[in-house]
Amino acid sequence: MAFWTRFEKLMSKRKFKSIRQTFVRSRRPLHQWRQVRSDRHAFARRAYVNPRTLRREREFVDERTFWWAVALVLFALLTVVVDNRTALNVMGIFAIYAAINIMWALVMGSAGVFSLGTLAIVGTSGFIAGRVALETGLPWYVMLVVGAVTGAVMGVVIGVPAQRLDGMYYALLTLGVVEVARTFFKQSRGFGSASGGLISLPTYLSKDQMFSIDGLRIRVLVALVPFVLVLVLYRVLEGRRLGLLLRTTRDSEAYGDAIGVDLVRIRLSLFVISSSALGMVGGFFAAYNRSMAPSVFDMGLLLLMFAMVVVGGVGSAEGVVIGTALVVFVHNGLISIGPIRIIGIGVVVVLTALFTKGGLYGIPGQYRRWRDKHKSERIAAASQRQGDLTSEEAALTDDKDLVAVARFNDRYRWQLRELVTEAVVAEHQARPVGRHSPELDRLLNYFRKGELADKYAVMTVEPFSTYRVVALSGVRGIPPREVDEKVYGSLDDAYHAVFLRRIHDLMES
Amino acid sequence: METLVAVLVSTLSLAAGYGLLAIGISLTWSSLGLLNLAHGITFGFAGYGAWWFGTEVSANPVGVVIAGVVTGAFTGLVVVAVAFLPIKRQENFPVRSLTITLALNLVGTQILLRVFGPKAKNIPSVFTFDSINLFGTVILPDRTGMIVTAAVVLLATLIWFRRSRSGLRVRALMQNPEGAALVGVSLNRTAVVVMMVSGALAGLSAVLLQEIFFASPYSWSTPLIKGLVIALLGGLGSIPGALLAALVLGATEAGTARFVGGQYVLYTQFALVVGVLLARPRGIGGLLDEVREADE
Repeated sequence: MAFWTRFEKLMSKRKFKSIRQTFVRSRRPLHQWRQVRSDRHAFARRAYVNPRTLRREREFVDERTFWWAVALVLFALLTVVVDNRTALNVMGIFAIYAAINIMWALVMGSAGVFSLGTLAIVGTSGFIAGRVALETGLPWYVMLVVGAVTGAVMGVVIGVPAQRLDGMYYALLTLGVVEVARTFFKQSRGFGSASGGLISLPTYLSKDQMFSIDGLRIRVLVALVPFVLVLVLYRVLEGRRLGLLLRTTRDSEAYGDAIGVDLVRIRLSLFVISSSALGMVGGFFAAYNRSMAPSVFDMGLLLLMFAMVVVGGVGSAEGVVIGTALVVFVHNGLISIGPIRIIGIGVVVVLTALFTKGGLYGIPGQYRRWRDKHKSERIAAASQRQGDLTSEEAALTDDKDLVAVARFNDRYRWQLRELVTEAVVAEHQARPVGRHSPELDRLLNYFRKGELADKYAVMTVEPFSTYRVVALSGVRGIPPREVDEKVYGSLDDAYHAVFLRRIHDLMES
Repeated sequence: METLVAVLVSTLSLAAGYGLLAIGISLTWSSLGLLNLAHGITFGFAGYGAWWFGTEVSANPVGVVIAGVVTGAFTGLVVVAVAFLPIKRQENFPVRSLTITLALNLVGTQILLRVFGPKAKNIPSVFTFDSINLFGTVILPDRTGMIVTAAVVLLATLIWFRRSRSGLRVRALMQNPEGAALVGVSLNRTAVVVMMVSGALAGLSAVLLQEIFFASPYSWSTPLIKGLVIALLGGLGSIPGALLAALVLGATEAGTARFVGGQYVLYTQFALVVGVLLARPRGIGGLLDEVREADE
């Protein structure tokens, strides 16, 4: 625990401030560019007062846009700097897989539809786009358009059963769709069953670029384009009205229905939009590889892509991309290790599913929630003891008023303890009710002000003859608990017993 | 007549092989709420277990069958220990357990690849008696053995399910998990039993289907998908539904292969399943009895 306290202190020092704060130190009025046709800002900031330092600061409402920009620039730079063909290939595969997985996560995470048919859409679109390009001789970017159109059609085809079938039934059905697609493209002559798929498709590299390392660099850089497009699409869908409606109905369809969400329409539009994006990626995949093989529908690849999505966490684009980067790096970058690396990936997936709630990307949040829970438990225990806050707890309490109140009460108790004498106790025993000396009055007034939770009270068991001391629960509807077995013959005796208990607690605290 | 008999025999043998797989999936889902996609790798492991016994120990048919069944049951034990027991009470259990079973497929395939290599292994033939001549159609011993064995085993499973104490526990869990817990049915113990039984059934089908699917690291995916599709058509969780679905899909496969062409088998089967599911989202079992809701 001490380590974390020190760590938090370190982080609150100026030089370790997060980048969001160093960027907004100026006091110029906020000027924010709006995104077209929306009230959102890509780099929206908000001003607030830091409760610890009591300084005015500004921060990004959503830091992620900034970090995405940084990451993409770094990726592009890396492409130019890296001189290794394997590394460049891995980066290209990563960009394409990440684009596919982001759309997959949109369907699984936001809509909560457990679909395993993503690769069927990608592969089918790629094959059909490739066939069209081969037949007509049109350039490579036509494949993207054809792919997107095919994807939209596929979206309708697999979206309609989703309206009827429940979660797991739908998952199994989509698994079947992949198998059907695999069999179809493996057996059809028109899609190159003899040559193992479609080959020599049009691509965006010229003849002499194809085998040079600069050509490879261009190949990877262009692969960033569909990735960024899909990313923007994800943020637009996730953040805007459609995403809101999807998340509303994800947990309870009946609730969404009751508040008037047109479930069929929003699900279908999601399927059509995301499948169309997947189809576009499929068309690009064909152009990227200059070929299309039925191995895209293989169970092994499906499992691998599924591992990418769940390792990072389906809840966010960041998680998915991190998971994709991790798995692609291990699977395609560390081939020399052999099959043991895939066993490793599987083990990581199992561990993630066993121990995390939102994948690896959700671990910081999960840790924070765990820490906050323990922190609030400690604070609650401290306030139950009525003791002073420790300096650690005072630093962690955002509302400084509470700290001031706790300090005041602590000082007050020290003064009251000096008033407790034999004489005061004897006075209370003689006359629990009525006129008192100033010292006893101050003590009684303090006791009366105490919190209701665990406050002592007198319970009448039998009027005029039997009384007992109880402690109130402080919660309406929960009866008081009995403090001890003792029975008092008169009300005055019971009052004095309560008084003695309170004196005891005051001296102990 | 000969065509009819041939199609019938083909139907029955396919239904026998796939039905054994589908019932395991159905049983696991309905009693534990676990969609066990690791059924595929159980199938794969059992095939290798039988092959190993047949080549290394003895080619005695009974021994080979038992080796396959035991390997399957043992794999089921591993699956339940990893994918069910640790997380059974945690939130989002269906998706998390599904994820784990998918990952187990990934791990299992690579283990098989590493230990046995990519080459397919031939499990020794189990049935060695003579072919039968029925109305002029020659029925191979494999087919007869498959149909008879599967029928006997399925019957035994049904009797276990309907008559025995542990079958009663499984049925209690299927009807109402909380109620079962209240009257003292141990979820852990029942889960282990269910998974071992379904693993053993998968193991048996691996031995019986060895004629079609050799033991190879990747050969489990088609049987898994067929099993899943049958369980789906049967209504996930209804055993009579799964049996009926196995017969229907077996007939579709045999009929398509005979009259249309072998390469169209998957399409007709899939079209049938999609059609039935669109009309009845709970499959055949939805007509027969109550089945478990997918999202609870």
